[in-house]
This record gives sequence, structure tokens and C-alpha cells, in this order.
Amino acid sequence: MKLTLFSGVFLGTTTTMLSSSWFIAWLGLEINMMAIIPLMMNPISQRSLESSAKYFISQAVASSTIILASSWNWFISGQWIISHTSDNFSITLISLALLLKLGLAPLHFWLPEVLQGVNLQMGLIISTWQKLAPLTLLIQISSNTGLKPILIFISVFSVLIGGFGGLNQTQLRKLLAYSSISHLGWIVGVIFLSPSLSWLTTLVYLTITYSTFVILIELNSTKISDLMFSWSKTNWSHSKCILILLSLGGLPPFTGFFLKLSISNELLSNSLISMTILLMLGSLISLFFYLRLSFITSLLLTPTNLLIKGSWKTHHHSNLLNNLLFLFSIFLLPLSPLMLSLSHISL
Amino acid sequence: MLLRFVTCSCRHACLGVSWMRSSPWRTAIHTQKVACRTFSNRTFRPMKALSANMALLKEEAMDKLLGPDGIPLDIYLLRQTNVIWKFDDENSLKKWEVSTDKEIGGKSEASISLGKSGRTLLFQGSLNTEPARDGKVRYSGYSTLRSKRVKGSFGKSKHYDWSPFNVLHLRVRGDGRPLMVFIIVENFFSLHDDDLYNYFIYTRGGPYWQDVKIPFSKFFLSSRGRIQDAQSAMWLDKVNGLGITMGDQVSGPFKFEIDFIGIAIDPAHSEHFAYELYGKAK
Repeated sequence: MKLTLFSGVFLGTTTTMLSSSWFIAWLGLEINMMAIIPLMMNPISQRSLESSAKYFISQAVASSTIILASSWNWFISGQWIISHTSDNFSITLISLALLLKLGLAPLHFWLPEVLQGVNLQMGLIISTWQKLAPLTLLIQISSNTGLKPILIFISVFSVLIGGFGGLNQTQLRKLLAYSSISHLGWIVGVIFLSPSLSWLTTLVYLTITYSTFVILIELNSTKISDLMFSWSKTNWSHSKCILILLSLGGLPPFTGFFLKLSISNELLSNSLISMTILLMLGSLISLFFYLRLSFITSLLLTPTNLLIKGSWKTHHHSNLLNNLLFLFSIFLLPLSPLMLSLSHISL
Repeated sequence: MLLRFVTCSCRHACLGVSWMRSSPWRTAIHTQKVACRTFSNRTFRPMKALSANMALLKEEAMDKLLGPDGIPLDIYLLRQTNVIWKFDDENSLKKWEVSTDKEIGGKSEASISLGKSGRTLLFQGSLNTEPARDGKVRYSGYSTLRSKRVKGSFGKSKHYDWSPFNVLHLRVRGDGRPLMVFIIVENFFSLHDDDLYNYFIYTRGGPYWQDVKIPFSKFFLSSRGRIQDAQSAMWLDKVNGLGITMGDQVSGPFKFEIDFIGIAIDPAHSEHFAYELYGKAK
């Protein structure tokens, strides 16, 4: 049964990413949503049911808005093709619906609550795989000039909300939700200038977020106080956790810095100076709480102060994919010129 | 009915309505005190409420910037214990409400007051297990002490975040009768409105205080008083309140004194949930 549902999630996203018609794209989004709802409810508890219900409501509203707006576009222009969407009202409505699907401010209220109610594995899927389909559609319609002011506003607002929302959070899943809002704000800020750069930065963001979730699953940590005691569990995962948090915060020389550097370069070369300043200020707030989290993980409690029962150190079977993605999420910054040239991006 | 000028409590001359009852046997004129409906009263109360709520919102925003629950994060993470409820004065009693089976026609009684020292809460009364004779109620005899919901600005519900802690610590003194302590957590569906997480307190009786420490993993789920087959661990990040029920099916007086209710971390306790998480029989 789980295999069928995971296939549905995969099928829905790939259908949307490969389609050129609004109807097929909407179909893919619906298949994806219907398949992931039962997966989110496992294991059944009040909070997982609550998260599934909230996720369903937000995604269903967004999907129905998309089909309404695309139907209106067909009525006006006779076109179902995504790249030929010309009606401004339809494009605005579709972009707002896609922003709701992505969980960007000011339509972000569902994301922290939903992530908090599901387990870390489902949180990983919601934060990474589920972003691909809406981002694909957003990139395809981003060339419309009417969207530029909306995207700039959403981008800055998301980064600021992501920064202030994650401040003083004690639950790691909520913190990663606000991190997702902040990072997607950066990506959406460059989407209308350079779609290929937004794709590249999306891949970088997904790699770092995937590695973060994998490490939290290894440490079985859902709150900050769990990270405080993680040194006694597995030393290697504990060290990885510190590095990945710094990378997520965008600190050089880690990979996360590439995301902010490349986007800032693109924005400055297009004379969007105030937007860049606001994005950087928002990121400084995020960096503050990532640094604090790294401090709490590494230095707050000394290893000699054994306040908890020691755990059995069992042999940990390492996964090649996870380790490779972890390396990419930490040490990819020196290869950034290569990545930019491979993506045909010139800064 | 007569329309005439009356003087209301705020000494404004208002146009009021009064009922005049007259009959061959009574000549008394019955007048009603008319509420003053001047412009200032109509707009003043909402403005007062708005300014009070804005002050609360500002306080919440400042607390959010300071740290979780308004406490700096490093202190929040390093603290081992936290007293949630203590009973220093009469105002602390206003955070609690008492209910008995009188709601369903029973005859139990209960009340709360400050203890002799003035620093404890005394929950006392008498249970009566005789059910109401309405043909519907079969069992009776309970008294409950429950904490009130904390509201934030604009009526927003506020929750306690007990997730860093794993033990409920109460310092109590009873009369030897067992009680049940329950925790109310936030729910989304109205189906779960009556869901509670329960555990027992066995009091020793006598003059000595007892420290009751119950790990949160021991609390089991019940709904409308019935223990659920599908159990799940309590989520401690959104706790709405706590309550204590006296309902041991024995008629007679009871007394239960509480010094404080708090939460603590027991580093030796690593259990997540104490009960079997099997699927329901089909």
C-alpha cells in the first residue's frame, strides 16, 4: 500500500513537471496531494490527523484556484498551454495559488503547523519533493512582467517572516519550516530574472534540507533540547549536525553560502539594491538562530556532564546516497563556477 | 407602556422606556432602570477592549523576541524544573474552576480556598454517589478541579509548551482517597474535545506532604470518561491545562491540598509511552 502511495506522489510530481497544459499539471498536483495525505497520517495520532487535514485544506484551495484561473484563461484566450497564459488576472491568481502551495509568506501559516504534526520522514518529503511541482509551474509563468512586483514583495516578506518566525523556536520541525519559507523567498526573488539560476539554487536548497532532515532522523531529535544531548548518541552524526546547520544558515565556506551569493549577484547586476539589502537583513536573523543552534548542539553542555542515561552505540549502517548528499551540502562552494557554467548562467 | 424621560445611573438625561403596571388592586408604577446609551458609552467600551488587546499583543511580541515563553533561550534550555501553578494569594484561585455532578443532577459538593498557611490550595467537599432520578444518569459522584484556559490577545488561545520536560511534579497532601489527574491538550477536531490524558494519584493521608512525580509517558488517553483502545503518546507542545478529579465511588467528605504543580526533567526516564500501541481488532 505504501508503495502505491509513494508511486502516486512520484507520479503526480513528475506529471506536473513534464506537462505543458494547465489541466494535466493540475491533475498531477491533485494526484500528488491525494497520495501524500494517507502517508502523512502514519502513524495515526491526533496531531498527524490535524496536519493531514490542514495540508489537505491548503493544497485543495490552491489547486482549485489554479483550475479556476486556468479555466478563466481558456475562456478569455482559448489556451490551455502554460507558457501561453496571457490573461493578467489568471496569472496573478495562479501565482498566488502556487505561493500558497509552496508555503510562502503571507500564505505560510499552514506550513509550520503541518510540519510539526508529522514525523521527520514525512517532513523531509513535504520540505523537498513537494516543492518541485509548484516551483516548476511558477518558473514557467515567471516571465510575465505583471508578476514582478508580486514576486519581489513575496520574496522579501518571506525572508523576513522566515527570520522572525524561526527566532526562539524550540521545535526543530517548525524551525525547518521557517527555514524553508526563508530559502524559498530567496529563490522566488530571482525567478523572474534567471529561471536557470533559480533551478540551480533550488537543487542546492533541496540537497541541504534533505541532509538536515536525514541527520535529525539519525539523531531522533525533534526539539532543541534533544540536540543538546546528541553528543552521547553518535559522535559522527553530532558533528555532521553542527556543519549542516552552519551551511543552512548560509555561512561561508559551506554550500549554503553559494545560494545567497549567486542570488545576490544576480539581483545587484539587475540594480535591485534595496531588495538585496532587505533579503540579506532577513538572512542575518536566520543566521543568528542557526549559529545559536550550532552553539547549543556543540558547546552548551560539555561532554563530561552526563545528565542523561547513556545510549547503546550500535553499528550505524551508512548510506552512500546520504553521505554523498551530505558532502555536497557542505563542500560544494569551490565548485560553484563549474555549476554555474553547467547551468549556462553568467553572473 | 409609556415613553418618558428618566434619569439613568450615569446621570445623563436619557429617553427611556418604562412599564407601568396598574390594576384596580395595585397603584404602584413599575419602572425599569434604563441603561445609558449615550455615544460615549457605546464607543468607549470597544476602544478600551482594543487598547487592552493591543497592549497584550505588544507584550506577546516582546516576549517572542526575548525567547520561548518570554524567557531567554539558554535559561529555557538549561532549567530542570518549572513551577506552573502556585497558590500565593486569592488571585491564584481565580485561575481554577470547580465543577461537580450537580451539572447532571447529582448531589456532590466541592469548593476551593486557600489553605491555613495561605500558600496552598485546598480542594474540599463531599461526594454523593446517588444518581439523579431522571432515568438517564446511572452513575454519579464526582468533583473536578480544572485550570482555566489562558487567553492571549484578541481571544487567541495560549498553550503551555512542556516538551522539554518529561515528569509532572505535584506536592500534595490528601486524606487517603485516590484521585485522578488529567491533562488537556489542544485538539483540532471537535470530535476530540473531550479527550483527556489521565493518571492516578494515591494519597497517603496524614499530616505529611507527598511529592507525586508522574512521567508524562504514563498518561493514557480517554474520551468522555472512556479509556480508548487506540492509545497514543501525549503531545506536550500544546497543553491547555490540567485538572484533578475526585470520583472514587465512595460517598463522603474529601480534602485535598496542593502546594504547587510543576514540571521537571528526569534524565533517567527515557520511556516514550508506557502502553501497547497495537492496532484495533477488526
